[in-house]
Amino acid sequence: MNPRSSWWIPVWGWGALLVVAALIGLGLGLLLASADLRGGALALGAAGASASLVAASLTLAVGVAAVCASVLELVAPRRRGRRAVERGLMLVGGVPPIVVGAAIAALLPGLPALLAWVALGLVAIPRLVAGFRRVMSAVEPEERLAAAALGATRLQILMRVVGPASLRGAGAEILRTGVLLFGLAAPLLVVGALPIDPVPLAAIRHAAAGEFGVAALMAISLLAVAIGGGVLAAALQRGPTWRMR
Amino acid sequence: MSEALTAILSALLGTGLLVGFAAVLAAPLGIGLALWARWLAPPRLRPTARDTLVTLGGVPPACLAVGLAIVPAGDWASAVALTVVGLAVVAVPAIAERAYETLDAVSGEAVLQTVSLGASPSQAVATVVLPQARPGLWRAAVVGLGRAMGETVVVVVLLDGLSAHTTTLTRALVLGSLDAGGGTVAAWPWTLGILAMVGAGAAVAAHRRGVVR
Repeated sequence: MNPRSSWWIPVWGWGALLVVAALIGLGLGLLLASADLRGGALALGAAGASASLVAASLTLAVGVAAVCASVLELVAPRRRGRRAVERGLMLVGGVPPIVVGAAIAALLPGLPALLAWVALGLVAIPRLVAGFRRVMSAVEPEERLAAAALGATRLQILMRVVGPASLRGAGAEILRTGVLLFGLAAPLLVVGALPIDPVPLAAIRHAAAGEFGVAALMAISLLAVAIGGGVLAAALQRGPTWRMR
Repeated sequence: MSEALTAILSALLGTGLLVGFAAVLAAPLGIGLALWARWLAPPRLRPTARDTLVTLGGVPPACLAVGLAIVPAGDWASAVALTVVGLAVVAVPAIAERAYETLDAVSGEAVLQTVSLGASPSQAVATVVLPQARPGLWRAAVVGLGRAMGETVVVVVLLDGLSAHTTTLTRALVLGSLDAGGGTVAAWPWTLGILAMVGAGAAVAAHRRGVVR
């Protein structure tokens, strides 16, 4: 191809945008046209179940991920194992959630609700670690250097400089991960019969039974949570950043 | 050939074919979307476009699955075609997000110099940005492929009702664990199969590591 001919660049970009926008519009139209508002009570109950499961899993994951990210970012920056741990986390983060669910169910046979909690927590940890590290590494190096020059230890730098500066970004990452867990169904499909009925599982069950009205309503609630969470996370991340006084 | 081996080969073939067709659809769309968001969108819209890509990546596959399940699929071919579209839609935001990061990492100075030498912005993208970003774009496509490979809900919902021969590793894993009453003893071969395929994808991605050469 002649390097000077570049007419295909705008055609490619705008064409992709049009196709994706059309697909989104079509899908949204189908869901809105099929939704049956009489399933509202069911959807609310399922949303409550999902929210409690996600909150419990995030409680498990956030603490572990925060410690992992802090250790990797600040406390052990030059250890030999750091690169290996980073690669390991990247690989674990790429494992499909259904595999995590199946592995947990096989290794720790027991209560399905407990397994679901652990499986969702394990899915969340690598994402949170990567997100927290991204946020922490975005803190101005000068601020760390200034604190170190004043005699602060690594832990003090972490607690008084990097931590406060990363709060908004970390909140956005937690929100994004919570939204992801809210819509995650794959690990819940393989851990056994759950005593609660989270939204994605309920949506799948109703769709399989041909009750598309209720399934569409649940899908719309999932979509609303995903978009609302995404917008909120973006706003949180863009907000005023912490500056050293 | 034993029945188990036939089942595994059938699931591997099913996964490969469905994900392959989905990748053919998703890769140009995802990279095109990233290209638009980074270089073609009006500059004021670019941060919003970036956030929209991230938000699209967070849309749960269950939504897509239900949306596509509403479309009446009469026969085997239309069910499989809908599944391919569903997998492609799942993969597009993943590809677009990583492709955007890659395009964003290309030096703005090089583009500026090209434009100052008289090239149009499109020519700068075609001759400077895309060649420099090519390894990263390949990597983005492989990541999207991995996402489609591990996708479960779309496959389970849209292939529901078809015979067990039309299957993927994830569907076989779900059906196997349901047959075992929620246990996963019967599901190990599928789990290992998924891991092997995703691992192969990760190896390809690692081989093509690096944003700018």
